[in-house]
Amino acid sequence: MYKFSTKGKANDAVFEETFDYAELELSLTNIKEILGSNSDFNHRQIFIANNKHLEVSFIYIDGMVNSQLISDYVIKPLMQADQFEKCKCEADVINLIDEGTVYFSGIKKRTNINDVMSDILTGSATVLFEKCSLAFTFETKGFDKRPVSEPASENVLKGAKDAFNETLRVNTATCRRKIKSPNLVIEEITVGRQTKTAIAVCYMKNIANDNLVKELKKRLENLSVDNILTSGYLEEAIIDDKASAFPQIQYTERPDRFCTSVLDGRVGLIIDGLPIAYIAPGTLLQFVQAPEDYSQHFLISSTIRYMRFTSLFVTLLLPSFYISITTFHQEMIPTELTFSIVAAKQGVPFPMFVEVLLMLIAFELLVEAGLRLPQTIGQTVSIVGALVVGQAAVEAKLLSPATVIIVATTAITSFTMPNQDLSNALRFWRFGLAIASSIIGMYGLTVGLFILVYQWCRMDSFGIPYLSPFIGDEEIQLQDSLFRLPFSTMKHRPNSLHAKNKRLMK
Amino acid sequence: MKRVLLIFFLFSQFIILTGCSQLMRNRTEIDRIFNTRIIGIDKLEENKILFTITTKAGATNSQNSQEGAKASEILVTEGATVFEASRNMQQYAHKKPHYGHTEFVLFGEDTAKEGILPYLDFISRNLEFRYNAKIYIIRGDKANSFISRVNTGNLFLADKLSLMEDNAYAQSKTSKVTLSEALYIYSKKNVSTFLPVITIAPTMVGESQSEGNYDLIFKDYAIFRKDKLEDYLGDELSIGVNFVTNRIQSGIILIDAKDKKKVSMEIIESKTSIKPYMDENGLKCTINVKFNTNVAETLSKQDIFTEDGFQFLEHQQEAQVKKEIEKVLSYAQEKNMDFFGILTKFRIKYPMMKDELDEKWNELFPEIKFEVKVDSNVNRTYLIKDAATTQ
Repeated sequence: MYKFSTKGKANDAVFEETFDYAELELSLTNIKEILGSNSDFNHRQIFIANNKHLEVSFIYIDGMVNSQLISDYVIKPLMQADQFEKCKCEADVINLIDEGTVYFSGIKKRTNINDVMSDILTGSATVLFEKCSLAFTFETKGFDKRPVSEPASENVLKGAKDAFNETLRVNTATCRRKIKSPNLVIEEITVGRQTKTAIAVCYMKNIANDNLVKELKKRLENLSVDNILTSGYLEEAIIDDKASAFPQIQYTERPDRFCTSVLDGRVGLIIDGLPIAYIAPGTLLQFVQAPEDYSQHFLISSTIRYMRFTSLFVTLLLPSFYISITTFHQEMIPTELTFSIVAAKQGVPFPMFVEVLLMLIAFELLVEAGLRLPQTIGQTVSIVGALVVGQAAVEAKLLSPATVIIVATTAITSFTMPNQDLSNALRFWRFGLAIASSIIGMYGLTVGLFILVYQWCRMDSFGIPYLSPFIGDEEIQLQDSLFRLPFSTMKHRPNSLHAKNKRLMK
Repeated sequence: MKRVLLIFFLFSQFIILTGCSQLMRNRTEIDRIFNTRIIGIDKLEENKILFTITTKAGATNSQNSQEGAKASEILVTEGATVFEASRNMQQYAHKKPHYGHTEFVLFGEDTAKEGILPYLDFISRNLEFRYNAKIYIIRGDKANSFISRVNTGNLFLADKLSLMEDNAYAQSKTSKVTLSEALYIYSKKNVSTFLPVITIAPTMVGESQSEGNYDLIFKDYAIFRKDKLEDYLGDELSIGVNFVTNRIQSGIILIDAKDKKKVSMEIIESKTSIKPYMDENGLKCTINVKFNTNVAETLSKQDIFTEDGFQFLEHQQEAQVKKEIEKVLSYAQEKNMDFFGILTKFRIKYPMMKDELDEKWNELFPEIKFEVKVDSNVNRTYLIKDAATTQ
């Protein structure tokens, strides 16, 4: 069952479209009216084949076009090609361009000022035939691009080292290079009233479920935001459960991971201007899986993945469990450990809950400070914060060493999460569970955990249960869940995706 | 918003309806509780109870962990019941007693003679106690006196007891009896039991006693008629009890070789099964013991590591073990005290007759015909064929 909420749909009366000039005539005056005040707006008059009677306007945005390309392949043929010498009027020139006299692959014929504006603003050079109210736009994009580099947040040990960058076309080309199949469909949808950001919807037409593709496209088309300059706008608008802190679509900066998901039957989104791509739908399992799981021997991968699952619960529950057993259920602690904790706690003025809370907040502040500062200073902050201040706090009896160890273990285990969004959600819930534990101990922790599991159970992403394959009739995918069994056992695509072609291998 | 309110409402109901308010009252910081490791219970003459608890000093007060300070902290109080005594302690104790880490429950000899069941009631009701705590009887002394006298060295008494009971398996003259085992036995009708004994003896330095220092001896069982101490078994009968109740972990069997020289056999494994049955002549019980030994030491000048020699050793050790078992069985029948749990075996085998067995067990037990079958095997000679004495 697919759900789509129309809540929060933009009120057209308030958010008026600011990019609609359809009523204006396609003329240089109008274009100048719209863009003329910009310093990077350029226009010049050129004469076709040096014929003073055939004057056309040449328009472009400086810095967004490749000047060399314009000079050699647009202006030069228009002014020097022999074929244009016989032209008497603009209509003859238009006919010749239509017939391919100008050797240029990315050429579009436009009669609408809206289309012309859109092309100019995306880096095309425009030749305007004012008398005929017609323009040709040449795709001469020439702005600087960041080269394809290694992923910054998803480290690769064994695997492709390329990562997505900010240029949509480079990213789609990277995918094409990895999936050389005519079934790979890359459709573009423009979103953002002001930014007109292109979003590429990628899927395998012989595998992906049509309903899933249709639903995703529908949500994108209904998206009514001003800009898609950051990922949050898109993410928040297309997920099902907006109140949940847990991620419901997966992001990646690795094209190999993206392509694997597309081949599984999921739908990918590549956004122009963002070096990450999204994969929908997202389930909890996906956020705990790492691409390296499929690069190593299955025994190693299974062990590491199981350890990662354990880490998920450790980072979520350890502080609250520690508060519970040291404040309410002291009999649960091994005797010798009790005496060690008590010895370490001597002289510390704060209750255990306050100690843990202070440490958790300090840890969050350190993470935040490390993110905001330049990389080199960031490391210094970590060292000063964690080692110097931490040790000083213990020596000054503000905190007990046992609490420091607990919070440090929590922090380390949180870093094993392959997905930062999942890690952030766990951080949020960790605080909630710690507070519940401080009120009624293990009972509070159990109730908190019950609410969390309830939320997981009721969540779905594009109709697929969030806890899939652990719930429902998904025995097929269990080979790739808590453990990663050999590839020879994974003969089918995930059942929950309802792919057209379920069989992955013979 | 409605959902959030609903969850909040449910959460509040969880707390209110389940009596969690009591749980919230029990919120105590870990450094503000007295983590009891040993409990001593003694009965005083005026129908009062002397209740003693002790813990490691460093764990309760950092100032006490200084060098030369006492290793332990002891709290003593009196009361009409154990619970009252426990609560009375809070009149003067700086920390709330907590029993979650109680490892040892000690009863003085006099208290044990008058019955220990009334005191176990508090322990079984209090949810803090761990059921794997061990029970010991202090022979010839009060538990309070024992704790005060012995708890003087650098090593805390509970740590010492814990280390010693782990080593006590070597002779099989005692074993651990946990709180859960004791409570189970005491819940049965017509059943006696045994509890391990700790004896205190002055430390000997040369031939004289070291003043103020005491050694602990872990051996022997105290047998209980219902919950009252009846007698101490002594070494030989205690080993017999361990064989019958399948509690042998290791041990020594001292036997004679053909030349009457001593050979020490080390028990490395033992298994006992009790098979009760009844026929027209009454109740019968077969006790099958199978054990393995190694040759630990030989003083014999003969070559005992031959086929005949091994058979002789096996026969000798089987005879000795059989003698020990028969002796303890006959002692138990003579006293009419079933501290092996034979009644339970019959109840399991003949569930339809359990009420009749319960009712007439005191008449039936002394009449049971026991048949003891012992089978043994000598496993290893440690590759030394010739005894050192033959060279």
